[in-house]
Amino acid sequence: MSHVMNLAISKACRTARWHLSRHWWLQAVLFIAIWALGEAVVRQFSIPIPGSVLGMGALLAALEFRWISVRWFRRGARGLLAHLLLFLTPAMLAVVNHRELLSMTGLKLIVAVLIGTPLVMIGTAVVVEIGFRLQPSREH
Amino acid sequence: MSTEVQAVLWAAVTLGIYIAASRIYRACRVWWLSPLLVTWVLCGVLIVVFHAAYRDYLRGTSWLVSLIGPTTVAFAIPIHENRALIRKHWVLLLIGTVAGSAISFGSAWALAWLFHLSPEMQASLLPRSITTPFAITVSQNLGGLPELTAAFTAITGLFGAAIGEGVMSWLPLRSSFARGAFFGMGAHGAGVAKAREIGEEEGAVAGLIMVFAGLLNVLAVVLFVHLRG
Repeated sequence: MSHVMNLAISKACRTARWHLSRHWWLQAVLFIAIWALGEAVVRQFSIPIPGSVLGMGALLAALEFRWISVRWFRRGARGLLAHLLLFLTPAMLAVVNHRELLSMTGLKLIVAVLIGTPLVMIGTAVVVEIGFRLQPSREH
Repeated sequence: MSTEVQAVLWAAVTLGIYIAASRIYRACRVWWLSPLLVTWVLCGVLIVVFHAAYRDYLRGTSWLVSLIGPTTVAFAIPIHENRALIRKHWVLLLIGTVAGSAISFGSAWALAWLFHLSPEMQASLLPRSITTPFAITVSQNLGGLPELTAAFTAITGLFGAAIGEGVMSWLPLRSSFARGAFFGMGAHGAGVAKAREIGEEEGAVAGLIMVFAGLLNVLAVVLFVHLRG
């Protein structure tokens, strides 16, 4: 009898793993679970970092030590990351509550973003390029 | 119309516009048709035209916002898959992340000072160059307005991706790491997509710099706030 039970359980596990490695939305549920767990731990022990960052660190460690297979996460990660823009849109629409931005302040902010962006791009690239050239000669 | 019906309607409208915009963008890849920009502007226009309250809009779409957390966890996968690259070139990646973060904070601070922006606006502007989920956290910790930070971050990404190739053609960059850092630090998500079009290594480096810069900034700001007490 227990033999039959064992067989049934292992078959169920195999089916679950099979589905998990194929459907991105099932994997997305895994990410939601890790995030929720991270938030709960952060709140419980009043850790100052965000629960999502803690969850990300824990997942990285679990993957590094091969406690879990990356196959259960790859599709879910690709799916969630592909739609990050959609998740951000409702937050960005809060600007409709900030009519004060339709003024000089708003213009200044936009100009600051437009000037700052190429500065960051050029500055970062130049520093990395110098670091690259200063490295002991390396095949590249 | 009851608030529940309104909520469902706003969710349907947002998803509908996003799906249509994604289809159109796949057909003709020009930056001003980016699904982010189109969904943002069209939904904003609809809210204003129908005199809707933002909190009614958010009642239907806050479930989308709560998926930002799980998506942040998902950044672990590209890091894990590029661990060989990280192990080999961690020095360059670290230099890019630290230098890029310093330049982005320094330039935002200087520009905010130059334009006499209020401390609240300054704090909202500071984290604009890091990817939005992290930028929102940094903004909250600095006393900024996270929703404005989300908007500035989006504009940074769109603008950076639009001007990136033009600006880069003026720079004598031999290293694919510099080209990747250029896009990953300067234009986060949108920049990573552009970097992937240029090359595989550029795309990987851009993605790593983007996530590392986000992590570095969040941890630094959390530490800063903690120490200041």
